[in-house]
Amino acid sequence: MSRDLDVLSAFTILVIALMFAFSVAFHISNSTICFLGDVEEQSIAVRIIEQLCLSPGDPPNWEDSGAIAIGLAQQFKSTPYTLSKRKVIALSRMSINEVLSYLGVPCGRFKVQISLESLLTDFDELEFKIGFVNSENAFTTSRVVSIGGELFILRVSVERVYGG
Amino acid sequence: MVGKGQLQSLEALIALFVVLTMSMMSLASYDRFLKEDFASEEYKRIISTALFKLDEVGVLPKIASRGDWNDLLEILRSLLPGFEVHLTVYDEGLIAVYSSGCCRRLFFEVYYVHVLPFSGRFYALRVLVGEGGG
Repeated sequence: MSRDLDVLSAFTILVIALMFAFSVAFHISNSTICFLGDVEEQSIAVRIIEQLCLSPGDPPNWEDSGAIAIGLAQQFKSTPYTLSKRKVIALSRMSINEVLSYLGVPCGRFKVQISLESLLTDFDELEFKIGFVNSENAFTTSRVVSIGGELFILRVSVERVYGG
Repeated sequence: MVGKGQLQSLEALIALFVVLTMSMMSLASYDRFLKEDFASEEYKRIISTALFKLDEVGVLPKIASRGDWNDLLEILRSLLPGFEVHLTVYDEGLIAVYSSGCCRRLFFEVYYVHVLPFSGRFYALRVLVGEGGG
């Protein structure tokens, strides 16, 4: 009788252990998928902001001659995070899909918002916001940049589109 | 009276309990590892490039010479909305001359040394960023 009870107990413990192992495996695979999605979202945001801030674009005078790739850095200036006023104005007049195609970001899979706001003064002539994301779900990165001697915050927010 | 079979079941139960505890601890550390990922490196870069830029364009020297460290704290807060920011400024003697802001649950910290032009004086800035700000 006690041996039967022992076998039954051991079997119950085995079932509990198996259920736990399955739930742990499910949790880890879910977390990993979520983590990889977050990393992709973050790396897209970083790629966009670094390209905009550090590259002058292709050709470097793309705002006049038409763009292959866009960037906002000044053409002959080696100081990082110093942007060209004319390129910023040209960017602010583009649609977000146009900007993403020049930056090589796949449209449809991500929603992107790019904004520029003045930091210390109310210098709102250059301020803009293109695109739209839900800021609660999006990853936002930013850089302090100087344009014509004034300081601004350039923000890039990226949100994954589920099923996109 | 505990029979032989029951005692073996008890041992198995204890072993299961140990396995469960170890697995839960591993899961907690795995989640923590996922949290301290790429994003914190990017947030550090936001703060350090901002301090570099403010230094380069002369805003940081102006703040340092006037002692308006609150202005710097506000700039840092505007860079990371949704996070708590605490700023401590040390002088050459490593004495804290300014300490303000809030950081209840530390996420990461950034250090920056600012040398005042033409004076040789320097300030060490310590920025603590915490999760879950307003």
